[in-house]
Amino acid sequence: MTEKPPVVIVVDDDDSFRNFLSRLVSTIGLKTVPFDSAEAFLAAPPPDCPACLVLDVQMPGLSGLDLQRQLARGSRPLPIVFTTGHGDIPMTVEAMKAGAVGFFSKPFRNQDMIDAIKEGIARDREMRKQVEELAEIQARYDSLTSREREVFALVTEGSLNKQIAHQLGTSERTVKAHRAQVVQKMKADSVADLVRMADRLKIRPQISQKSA
Amino acid sequence: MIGANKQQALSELALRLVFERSPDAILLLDDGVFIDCNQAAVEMLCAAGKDELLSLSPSDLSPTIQPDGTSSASKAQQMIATALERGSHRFEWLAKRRNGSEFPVEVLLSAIPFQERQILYVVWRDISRRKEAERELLKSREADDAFRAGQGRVLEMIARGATLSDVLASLVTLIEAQSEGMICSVLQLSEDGKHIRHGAAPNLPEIYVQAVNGAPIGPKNGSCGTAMYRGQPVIVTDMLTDPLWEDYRELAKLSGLRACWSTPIFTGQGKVLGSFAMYYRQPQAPTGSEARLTEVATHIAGIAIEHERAQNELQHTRSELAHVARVTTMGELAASIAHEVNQPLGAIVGNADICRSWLQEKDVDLKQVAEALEDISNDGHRASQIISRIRSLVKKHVPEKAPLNLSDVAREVIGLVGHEAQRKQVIIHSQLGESMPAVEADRVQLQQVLLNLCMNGIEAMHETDANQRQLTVQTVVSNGSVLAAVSDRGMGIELAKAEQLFKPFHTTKANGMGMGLAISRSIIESFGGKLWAESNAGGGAIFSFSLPAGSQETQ
Repeated sequence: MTEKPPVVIVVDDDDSFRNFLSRLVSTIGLKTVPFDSAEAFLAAPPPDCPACLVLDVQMPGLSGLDLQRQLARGSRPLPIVFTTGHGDIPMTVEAMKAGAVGFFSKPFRNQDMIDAIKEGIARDREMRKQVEELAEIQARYDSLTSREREVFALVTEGSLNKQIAHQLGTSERTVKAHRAQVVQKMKADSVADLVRMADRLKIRPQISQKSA
Repeated sequence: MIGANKQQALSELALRLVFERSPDAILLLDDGVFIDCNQAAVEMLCAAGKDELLSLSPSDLSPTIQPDGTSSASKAQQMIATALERGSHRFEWLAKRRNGSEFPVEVLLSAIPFQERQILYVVWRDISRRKEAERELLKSREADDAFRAGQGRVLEMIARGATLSDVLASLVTLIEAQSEGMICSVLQLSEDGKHIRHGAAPNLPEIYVQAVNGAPIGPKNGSCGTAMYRGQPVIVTDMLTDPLWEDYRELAKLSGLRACWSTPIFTGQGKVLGSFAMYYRQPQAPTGSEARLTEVATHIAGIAIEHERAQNELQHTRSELAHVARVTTMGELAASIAHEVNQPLGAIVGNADICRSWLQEKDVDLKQVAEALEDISNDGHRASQIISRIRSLVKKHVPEKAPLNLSDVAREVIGLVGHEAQRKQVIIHSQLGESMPAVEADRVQLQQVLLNLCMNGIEAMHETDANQRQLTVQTVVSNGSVLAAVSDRGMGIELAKAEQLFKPFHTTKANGMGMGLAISRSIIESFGGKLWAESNAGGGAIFSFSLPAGSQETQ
């Protein structure tokens, strides 16, 4: 599966500064999606490719820091590089604590900004990869039957087949068959692999003594 | 018997003598015909002799019309009737001599019974002198009143704030009007006490006025320069011979001036402020009658100059104070200003960096470079505009009135505080009137007032909910005034304490000087306007000022 080319989203109320950032971003062969306010950005659909947000801290209306908070609560958090005409230390600390990739006072060195943007895109790419993986694992998990899910949970908890059979009130042979199904459906190489997937899915075994 | 006869004879002689020698003209009139007169009557009326006079009819001795407009004939009849009725009658009359000249007389008509009829005994007293004296007195009283009224007018000009040159010119004109052939001037002493500065001399030759302006004072520097130097009056009766004028002789000749008497003008504390001079075109010494004029002139000129200097001092102090306040405000705005300037600077530095790396490449896309350079140039201009806008507010400047559009001034101020508002999460609503009549004021000082009101409004909303922080700036025309109002949604003001806000050193801010509103009010008042505070119906406060609308409309 080929990845879509990454974009740099620029949100700044200053036309000339937006133009400059687009120009800078184009020097590393990337595309820019410009917005002149946080509100305009929020109104647009979220990017479906690796992206990095370059965000001005002070804008009329919703400020950069406000937008950062709002994105963090949402389903598509983005790496953020902040720029500001005049930043103070508390502002910088707040932004960095909330996970910003960088915080630059204008004027800054272009290379520093480029590095930050690349770092941001790398982080987003990684994040997207993880999200996709999780989605894939989730899809496999969703294909399990409810009995298989019970077996999956108990296996990843470290229970032996015999214990599982006892707990589910069935034969060890049946458990073995379920277990083979789970490994196959989850495309797991090993039990360790299964455990990792369970962790990602945050699956905890449901202790059901009796079963129908 | 003989005694009695003699007594009678003497008595008649005495009566005859009284009649003949009386300085008043006496005539006897019997039924409209003169029957006798004395020598005084002959002389008073310039008749050839008694015979001629007696041959005349009374109408020959008066002009046709009396000064009150009635005809002499009818008025005479009326007067005679009164005299006959009352026994005697005294009145004033305009008489005519034989040579045709007219003169005022006081007439006493007495009716004397004689052989069953009434003879009129007419006494004429020449009152020309008395009338002349009365006229003179009246004239001098009128002149006196006019002079005093003139002084009042000049003092009123001072009180009403007329310019010093207008006041002094009026004073000089007033003094000159009191004496024929006299030309006056008022000169000022420069603040350093060393040079002459022009004051007023509307009737001295221009060349003379210009030569004197800026000349030094000293022990031998004409009449005025010397009078200011000595602090004493200097009387030069002939400028062409007096040693004090040695250095200025040619100027005097050229200007056609010969006599110059100069008196220093003092402050109340006895410091020399200038001089008042009287000039004549011929050699002349004071007669003593000029002393009063000089006294009045120096006194009023002293008041005018001192008043002007006090006003200048006050103005200077005010503008210094206003400047300090502006600088303080700009200090409060420093973070916003830095932000605003760094915006274009950031783009400039970044674009320049990009251009540099492009130029290091083999295939330089010159079109791209040109575009980036264009942006750099535009941003450079933008940064410079921001700085000059700030600089105009920070630098010292002498306030000057000019016709201004208040909406324009408000727009400039909103531009200045825009970032500060953003930083403090305040939304500014501007409701600015279009086609406003001009107001006469100083641009920087008006900006200062609006800036102060906006900054106060932003500050006042410090504790207001972020989504309620709204500052409204309005300009409207109302009843011949132009009004500006800045309303906030802050904690508002107590109406009873509203006036307190305008007191110097009243502050609610941790590091405020407490002068902002006091200075703003004094600025607005100096342009003939008013500044006040009210509560905002929707919470918060409204600070408004009004300025008189000029006749000029601005776009």
